[in-house]
Amino acid sequence: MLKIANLHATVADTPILKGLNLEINAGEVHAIMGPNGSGKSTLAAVLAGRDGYEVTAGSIEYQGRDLLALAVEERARAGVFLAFQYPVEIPGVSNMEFLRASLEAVRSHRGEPNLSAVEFMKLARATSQQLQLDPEFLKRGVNEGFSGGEKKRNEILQMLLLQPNLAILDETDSGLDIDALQVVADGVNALRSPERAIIMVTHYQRLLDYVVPDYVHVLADGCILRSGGPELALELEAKGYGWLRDDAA
Amino acid sequence: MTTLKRSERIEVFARTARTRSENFPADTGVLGRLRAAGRAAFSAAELPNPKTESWKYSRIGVLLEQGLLDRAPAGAAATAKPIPGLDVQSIAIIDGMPQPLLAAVPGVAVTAFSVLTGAQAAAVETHLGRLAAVSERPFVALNAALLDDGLVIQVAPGVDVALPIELLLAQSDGAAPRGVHPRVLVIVGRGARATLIERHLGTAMAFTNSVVEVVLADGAQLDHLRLALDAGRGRWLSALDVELGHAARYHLRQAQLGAAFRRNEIRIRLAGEGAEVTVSGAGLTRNSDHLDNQLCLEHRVPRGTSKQVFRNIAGETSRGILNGRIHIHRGAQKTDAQLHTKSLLLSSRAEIDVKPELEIYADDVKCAHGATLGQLDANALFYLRSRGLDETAARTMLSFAFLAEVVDAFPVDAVRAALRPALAQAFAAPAEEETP
Repeated sequence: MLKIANLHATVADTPILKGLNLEINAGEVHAIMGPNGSGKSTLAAVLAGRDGYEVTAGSIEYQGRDLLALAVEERARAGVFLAFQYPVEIPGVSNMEFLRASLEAVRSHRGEPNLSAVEFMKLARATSQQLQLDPEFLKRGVNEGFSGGEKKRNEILQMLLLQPNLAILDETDSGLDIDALQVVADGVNALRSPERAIIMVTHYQRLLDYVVPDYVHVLADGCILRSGGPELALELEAKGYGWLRDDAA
Repeated sequence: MTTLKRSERIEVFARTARTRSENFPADTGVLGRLRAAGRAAFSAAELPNPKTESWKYSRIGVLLEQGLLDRAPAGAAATAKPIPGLDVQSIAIIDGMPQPLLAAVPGVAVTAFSVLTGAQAAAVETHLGRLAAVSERPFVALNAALLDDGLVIQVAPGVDVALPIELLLAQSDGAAPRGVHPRVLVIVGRGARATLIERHLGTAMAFTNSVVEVVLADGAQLDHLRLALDAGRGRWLSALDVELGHAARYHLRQAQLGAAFRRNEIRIRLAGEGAEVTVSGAGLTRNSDHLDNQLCLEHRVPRGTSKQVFRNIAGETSRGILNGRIHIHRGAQKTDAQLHTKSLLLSSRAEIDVKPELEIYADDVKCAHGATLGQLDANALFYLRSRGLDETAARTMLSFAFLAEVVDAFPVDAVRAALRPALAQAFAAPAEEETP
């Protein structure tokens, strides 16, 4: 599904990613861990196509296409979804209006018919309830005045509505209490399927107790330092990142 | 039709106005005295010229066109669509003429100037023309000089009027050009509380030269919504003069589309300590429409607060103007005054002129102003696109949100619910340019 080869990226002329290689197949869940500044969020931003992140070398192939040649919205329509680390507040646009426009854009690209207003409402309400998010939030401005946990749940709500092929969760676990973490993890697990892949960018082992990954990668200084199974995350939790660096050196 | 020079057109306009003002029957009451004062002041006044600073961006040419001083035919009807789901006490002034009232709300008295007598007349005259003085602005003088009748709305002291009062300033359905001069005085008694929804209705080529004065006694509160959602050929010049007593609160919310000419002259005077004013405005101009808001906040005494927030969007060749003057008088210590404006241009030929004017004569005050032009939030744009919206759709959504954000904070659920689609419609599909 996704092939990242020798990826180099800079932010404001500062090299962040320095030759990253990663291959992800449909049905797999990958966790990307690493210390602050290792390039985790940069990788997520580059995959989604955020401005200000310049790819200076390497390639990203998504479902056989050159992902980097696609505009932000084309990636979204092709099934790439980024759950933001810091979801954006947009006062004046209701959450409902936003979700509907988004779903229509993605569905029409897939050749699926638009949902009627009633069908959409039903779906949005049911999905909200699944995430224990009061359907009243649908009427409010996008993320406007939401708590940190509510914003993250709203990201998962969007993910569940859009049913992406490749979901990238950028530190979705940060700032969540245990109950919210469970709800978010249930949402992510609900999306797991043989057709989809999920990348979880995270700092901590905690989320991985709830969403058990197939692979764990450790990112340091813009490269993947080590890859392994779920046990690698536990080892990191016990020994810290320093252990790997010393090991590599 | 011969083309007259500007000075000749002004001369014709002024002469016609004077002649018309002399045609009113003799009246020794409130109405007669107001007309006489207006007539005298208008005769002595000079109309704004291109060098008049406050009229720099609003040329009066469109107000001088033929027929805009004509009287409206009597008894014409107006079709005012009610706001769905809004329960109100409605008062209509059609073509400048107050209409008979259907029912009265307890605690609210609505009386035409023409029937005022005795003590009530005396009470009204202590305020009428005091805030909107005929000597200061020629069109305010013209309003007084050509007034058919006016209304005083009095809210009794201590009353909390739950039902909003709807004030319709409407054009009749007739097509003939005309000039009308609605006049309203609102007096909210001590500690009373009310909501006024003022709607400007009509798209015909008429000159509506309105004057509304609002007097808030100590501790009174008025939520004043002003909706002007009819674009078109109307020429709307609206003076709104407000005075607040001790600890009074005045909240003005405007949602407006441009028109051939739309200008609001708003003067708010904080005359009692601890008074509180908020003003928020959403303005949208399309085609070649014009929308001018001239505000003047007068902090005359200590401990007043005023907070103003404006959002303006201009498309095509339209023009939006906002002049925000804050005048903090000597001795008005501990004043907190804020003015924030954000503007957005949808076309390279549209224009928005924003000017804050601060005059501060006290040294222990907070006074802040900020103005931004043109930028949509890049993070929000990326967020929407990352969910599949193309750039145009994302920009459109954010541009509209720019207005909606202000309107979403308006009180009165039914008004809010009606405003969004009305603005969305004007935003999505501007009406075709009217042929002159």
